[in-house]
Amino acid sequence: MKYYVVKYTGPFGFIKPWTAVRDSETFSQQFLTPSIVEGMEKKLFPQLLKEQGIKKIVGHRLSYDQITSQQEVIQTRGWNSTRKGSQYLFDRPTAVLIRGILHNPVLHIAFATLQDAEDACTQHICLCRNEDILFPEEIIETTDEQFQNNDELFAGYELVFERKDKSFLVGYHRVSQQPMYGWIRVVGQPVNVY
Amino acid sequence: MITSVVGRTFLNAYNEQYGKTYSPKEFFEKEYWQLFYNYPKYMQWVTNSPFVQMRSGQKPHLLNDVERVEKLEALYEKANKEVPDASFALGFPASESKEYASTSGLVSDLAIPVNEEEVYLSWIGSGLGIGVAGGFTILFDNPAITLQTFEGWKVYRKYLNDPTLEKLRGNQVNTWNGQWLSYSMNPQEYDSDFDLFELTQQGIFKVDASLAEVNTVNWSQLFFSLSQQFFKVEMMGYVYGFGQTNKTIGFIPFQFKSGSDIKEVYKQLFGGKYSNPKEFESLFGMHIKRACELGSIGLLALRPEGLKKYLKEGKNLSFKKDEDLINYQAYKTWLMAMLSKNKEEIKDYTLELAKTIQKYRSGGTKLDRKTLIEKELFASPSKRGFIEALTKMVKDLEGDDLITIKKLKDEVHLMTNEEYGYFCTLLKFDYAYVEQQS
Repeated sequence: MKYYVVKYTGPFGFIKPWTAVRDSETFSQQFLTPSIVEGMEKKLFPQLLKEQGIKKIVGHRLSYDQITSQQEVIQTRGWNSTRKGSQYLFDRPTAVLIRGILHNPVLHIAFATLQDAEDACTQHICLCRNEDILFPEEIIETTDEQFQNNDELFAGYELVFERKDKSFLVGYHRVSQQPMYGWIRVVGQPVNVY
Repeated sequence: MITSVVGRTFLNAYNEQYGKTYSPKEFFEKEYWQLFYNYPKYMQWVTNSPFVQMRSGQKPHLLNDVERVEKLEALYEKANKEVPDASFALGFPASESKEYASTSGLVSDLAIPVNEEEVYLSWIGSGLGIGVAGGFTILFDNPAITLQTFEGWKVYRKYLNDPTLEKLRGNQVNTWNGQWLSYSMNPQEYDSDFDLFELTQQGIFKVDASLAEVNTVNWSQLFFSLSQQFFKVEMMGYVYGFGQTNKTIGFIPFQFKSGSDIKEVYKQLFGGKYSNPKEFESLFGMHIKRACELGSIGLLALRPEGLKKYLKEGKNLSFKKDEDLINYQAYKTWLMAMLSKNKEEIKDYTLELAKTIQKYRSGGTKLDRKTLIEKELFASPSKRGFIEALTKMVKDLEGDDLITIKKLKDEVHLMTNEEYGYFCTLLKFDYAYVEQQS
């Protein structure tokens, strides 16, 4: 089967692990979960907004140079109020977080038709945070077999969305709230650190 | 949360192994609470949990049986009625009844479905966390590992209750798990007849005049032990730290094959088994956080910490100190493993080269050849400098040596920068070794 793979690159990426709560230190996840892929698809193809599930993206591969730890200031998720005499004081306290960022992430997204790949190749995407933009670079024509095994061209991590022995819980689906499972396929050398 | 997932894996394995049908709550009461909390010394300290919240005048080690059951019932009450929060469901977000805490921005707004069972499973899962040096804990969602950890709980409890070990402090179950697994999963070290003396010899306990406690194990030691049980396996580990605030590294693949690879390379290079496995293996491995930044825990992450200073600088091993020889063996093993990653056979090619270079150096009378080798050849950060230095050598060489050096020049030319870095360092060590031998 033919695959049309769009390559996206950008300087930074961050994917919050679903288990991260009340952290002082959080690394980035190194794979996309089903709901992230579904979200990306809906961003690229807004006509699918009303449909549930992944329709067009048939695979992905994420690689990066290294995870680098950065110190950031974060805020609470809402305003706290305290009463000062007859007046209210509203504030949002801050905390310091060490966040692991994917440095120079490269994301390959595979489509089954050239048309889809061409549409996707005119748009940017974000891994999770909307300030970390990845831009399309090229369309690579290949086969499903190549995409799964060529460790030079398509090195990286991919979460395969199926349930089997080595699957683990990767979070809860944003819309359906169902648990999501998958196992990690590692192709070639996904991290290009020296 | 993830603790519940691992707790569930364990409970299923436990029920099967022991022919029981315990529900999470039953297991919690009959096994977990009995072992962890029904004694003066606790095995695990969970901040703000019912077990550590005392009425005025109460002290954990002075509680009587009735009071202990009261604490257990306080937990049941919470698990039954309240939305799970970090004080009684481990790995869950802290409650925010009055105002948003400063780190609340990280809590998902998804209503993740949880029930009472998950609360008990989260305790079981957290008790299975394997503590390693650097303040992190690892969870493997694997029945065999969790069952073995459970066996260790009973041993830890036995020592905590030992009246002659009054000074041994409690609450270290995760640290204990790390030591216990590294010890009990290593068939070369493990002796089913072990006693306290043996465990202290192994460095598991640290005993001095005022205090006794469990030492924290290095992740690499745990890695080498597990790689004996799970060779050729790649297993996902979840790396985290619970405390005042949490730390989440997340899911990291552990490539246990690298552990067996290192042993294999050592065997081929130096023959037989290393004389002191503990000391030898402890040389490997960078800080757990650095290792996780590499994306997976394998050969690259096992890089000996001490090797770093030799990779980039002109420094070399002196072989004047006793430990230099074991360092040399460890460094060489790792470098060879990196260089022969994709090749089947391992040849001690660099040692032969080092001999040739040493012969060249001893052929000169003045110091210019020594300077050329040490200051130019080995100190060159790039392939170019290395090749230039080789070219300078060529004019003084003849016969086989000339052919060897010419061949070397061609090979270095074809190496990637990464390979060159490893290769040059390896050659440098071998050279120092040959120098010292002559």
